[in-house]
Amino acid sequence: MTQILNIFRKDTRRFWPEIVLSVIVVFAFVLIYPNQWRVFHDRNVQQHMTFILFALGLLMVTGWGLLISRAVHAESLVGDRQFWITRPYEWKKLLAAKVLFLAAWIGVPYLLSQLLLLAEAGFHPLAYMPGLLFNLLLLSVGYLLPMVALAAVTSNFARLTMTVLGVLIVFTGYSYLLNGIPHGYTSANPYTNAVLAPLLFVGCAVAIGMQYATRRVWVSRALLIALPILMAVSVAAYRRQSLVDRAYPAPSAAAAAPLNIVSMPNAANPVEARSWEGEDYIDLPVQYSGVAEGTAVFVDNFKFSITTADGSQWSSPWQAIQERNLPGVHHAGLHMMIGPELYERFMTAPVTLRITFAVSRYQSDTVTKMAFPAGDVAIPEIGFCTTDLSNTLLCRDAQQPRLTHYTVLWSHGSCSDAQTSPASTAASDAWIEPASRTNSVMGPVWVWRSFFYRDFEGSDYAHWHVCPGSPLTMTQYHLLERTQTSMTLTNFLLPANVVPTS
Amino acid sequence: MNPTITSGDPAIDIHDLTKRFGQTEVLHEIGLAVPKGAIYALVGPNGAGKTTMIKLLMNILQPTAGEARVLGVECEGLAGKAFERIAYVSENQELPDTMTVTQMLEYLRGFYPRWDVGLEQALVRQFDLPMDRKMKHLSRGMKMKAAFAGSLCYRPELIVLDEPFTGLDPLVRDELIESLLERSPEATIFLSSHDLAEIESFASHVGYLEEGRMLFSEEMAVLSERFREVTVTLETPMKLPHNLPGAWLQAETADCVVRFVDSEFRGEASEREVAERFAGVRDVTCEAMPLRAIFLAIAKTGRTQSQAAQIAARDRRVGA
Repeated sequence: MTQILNIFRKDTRRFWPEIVLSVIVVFAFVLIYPNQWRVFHDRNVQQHMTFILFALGLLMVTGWGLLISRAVHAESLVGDRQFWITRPYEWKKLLAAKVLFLAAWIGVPYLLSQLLLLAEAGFHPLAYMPGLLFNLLLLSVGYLLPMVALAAVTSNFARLTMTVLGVLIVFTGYSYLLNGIPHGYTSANPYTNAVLAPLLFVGCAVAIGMQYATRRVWVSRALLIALPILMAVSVAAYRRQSLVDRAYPAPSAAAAAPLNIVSMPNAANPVEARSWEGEDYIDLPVQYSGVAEGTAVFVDNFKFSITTADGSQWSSPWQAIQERNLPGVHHAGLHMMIGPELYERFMTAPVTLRITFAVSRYQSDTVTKMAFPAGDVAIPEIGFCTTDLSNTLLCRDAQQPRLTHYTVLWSHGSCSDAQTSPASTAASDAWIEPASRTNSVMGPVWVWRSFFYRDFEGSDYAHWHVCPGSPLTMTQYHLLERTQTSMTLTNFLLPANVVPTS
Repeated sequence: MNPTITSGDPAIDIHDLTKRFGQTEVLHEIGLAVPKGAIYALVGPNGAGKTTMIKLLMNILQPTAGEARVLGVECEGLAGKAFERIAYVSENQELPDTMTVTQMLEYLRGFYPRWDVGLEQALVRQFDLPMDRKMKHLSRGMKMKAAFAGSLCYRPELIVLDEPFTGLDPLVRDELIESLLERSPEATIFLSSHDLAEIESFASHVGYLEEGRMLFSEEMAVLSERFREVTVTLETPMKLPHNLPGAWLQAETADCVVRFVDSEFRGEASEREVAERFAGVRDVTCEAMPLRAIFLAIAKTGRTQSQAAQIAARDRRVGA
């Protein structure tokens, strides 16, 4: 323990300017962050605040990177001239001293900043300690650990920076792979690759341990180079098609369809074909109905197959879509992507078109009815909500928001008139999903805005408002199942003209 | 196999130590034993492999083959507490530049249970160290003195020094040597140098490394006894015979005088052998040689042999 404290004291004394700077940035972040849930009457001020917050976030991350570099490179593990390598350092104690340094000057300020932010947002900080510690774990695995691993195989800050830039370039390419996966619009991302985070954690931890224990730089570097390759392989292995198939299992024969989907082309909405960015699209009008009362059904993905009269068949991959269905009838268009050569091949004769939908079915549970708030109010199960000038509801909670459907009533004229006749009101709704989170692990407060869209007549838009006191209903949902459903169109003729669109 | 010192329980014990960097062999099957209490000087020209050998001993580098033990510990396992008994100072070591001398000594004190504060104060006084100055602002000589102070205060059993006196003025060098000699009764000292004059005055043992091979390793006194510069005066001029003993180095003749270095001098027996090899010997003188002359003789012979080997290899290639 003496050795650990000796090294810790030395590092703290040596790097106090960097520590002070880093802590100042963290607490500047704490000062600015609450603007996320504050209402600004001047939109420019809000934009400036958002920019400052982004810049502070970047500075904070950079500051932590600098602290990591300083701490690790103080006893550099690369090279053969460092004075410490022939002193009685025990590698486990050296590593422990560095962990203590990072915990004291990154972990503790971070945790304190989270507690302060929760308190500022109106939540009791200690009630959310597990969540805060989980955030700290995310930060550690997602950022601190990889940075320590990179610092351990580089000799100074400049080399570390170059390496980080290289890694960013690699991950930009890697994100292209990830972008191939449709995320849909579901309450929880069903495509999570459960291998990535453990792989990153284990890979970095092993590289750090090996480097501290043996200082065999090239072995550790080889391991770190292999890590993104393994991660890419893991992504490739979890291909989107198999991910969707696994997340949305085919229903049993006896299972009732969660909703009815029929093709409804008519004179006003015919089947059309268009080309865009090298692909052809068949735009098929469809009607969704049959959603049971008290439930909601989201269509997250679809795929289709085309079978010709001579039996030849082609199947598309899963394609993302966003259709949220409540009880009632809902019309929408299905935009089916197909290669131009295939389109030309199939457009000559009637085909059988089979469309399979990946759907999520939700059950409503908690319904909260209240007057649209004029100021900051606490809403059970939701958090704190307020409204701003753009007729949106701005809410915050210390937990991830649940899938919630909001309905409000717009009023025509000024709010002070308090018009309530049906002619001067119009209903509008908005969905909030867990993925609506607007902050990152840097802040503990989840902030989301519910935009209530309504297609008002052009210039008349300015006269419509969601007024304080107007009825607001919030219905929360939980997931019942994910499944597949399908429809088949026989003798389907693809449109003869493909209209180019820009 | 190279010659070894075998007296006593060795502080450093090396067997067939080989180091390659890629295709380049830097050290070739080194064998060496340094007895406890010795002041062992490893000498050799630049690029001979001295620093590499010391880095292998300190587990800074790992050997390709062979083994080495330091104070009974396998070098590849040398780490942590083992360094409480070992001091290592190198001319190109990176010191904690941002610390003052006081801070550095305070910091190091925490690592050594046997740290002698009295000795620390004595060394600070002896070296006249500027305690409040940062290491990066010290002159080369002062830096080396601070490094010595930080390495001697815990009374190490083994002091390993890699070219410690290079680039230092004579005054600083003498101060450092003096501090070393004060430690020598309780510590084994192993140092590398290419300055023969400086080590001749205090080394008890010497090893000569050239092109990664240990040409010899023995006590200084034995070495001095073994080498003689022999001058033979003949009655008539004669050419050098081809079958001279291998131990006779740098043989040359001028008129009636033949000169060579006998690397295996055995007193009268050697003189008799001279008389047998040359006809009409009028006079033979055998003079003791300074260390510098001995090494020059060995080095030049080594290079000549090396060049001859290269020429022979080239001829073979051409022939093929």
